[in-house]
Amino acid sequence: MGGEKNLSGRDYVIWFLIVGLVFLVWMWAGDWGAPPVNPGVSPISQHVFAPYTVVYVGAGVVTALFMGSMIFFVYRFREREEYGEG
Amino acid sequence: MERARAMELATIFGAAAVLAYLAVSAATNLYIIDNYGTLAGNTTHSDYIDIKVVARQFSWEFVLPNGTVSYNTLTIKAGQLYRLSLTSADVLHSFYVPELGIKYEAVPGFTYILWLKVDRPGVYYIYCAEYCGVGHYLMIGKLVVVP
Repeated sequence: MGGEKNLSGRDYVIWFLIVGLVFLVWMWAGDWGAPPVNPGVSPISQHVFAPYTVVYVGAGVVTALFMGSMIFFVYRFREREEYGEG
Repeated sequence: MERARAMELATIFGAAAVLAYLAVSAATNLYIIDNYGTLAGNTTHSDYIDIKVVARQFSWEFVLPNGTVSYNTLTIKAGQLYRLSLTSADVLHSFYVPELGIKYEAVPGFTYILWLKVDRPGVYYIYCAEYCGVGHYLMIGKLVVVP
């Protein structure tokens, strides 16, 4: 950790954990991707809700990768005390 | 290849693959929804029932094939396929049935086709999902599905 340029093994573990945590929060907030209503009411509605879970999980993967990485970078490459505030 | 470059490419193409899958899935299902009647082989008029839907401030008007007009309540049979021709008499509206997952714009001068088939009897509320004036919140209809 610290001001070194290259990422250590511990950095990668923390990065992975943060991304995983963002994904878990995303899934929890969206009721684990379950459609908001019963999709079995109509055969046409089934085509509306069929991709719902896939879309939700897919969006969660992209969100977790980018948001998790940003959170990690803010932590990993934060400005040191000697450069700040003066 | 340098590891950082490999990670960069994996991120770019991984995200692109996810987005491509989502796009194909959405397009496929949207096509089926929009063309449900013709895809199911219902090419003859007797297989489905035409209903004209006219949205106006602040009610829903349903014109049945025999000329009967009902306001705010549409009664249909479970398991029967309907073809709704949706338009607006004044301003923009939106035909929204949350429990069926359908939402279609009602635009003055244009007619949009939406297919409707509900297997489970019950009452489903029809909302206007496009702000259409001071009485927008009153524009609630009922879709009554009978066995």
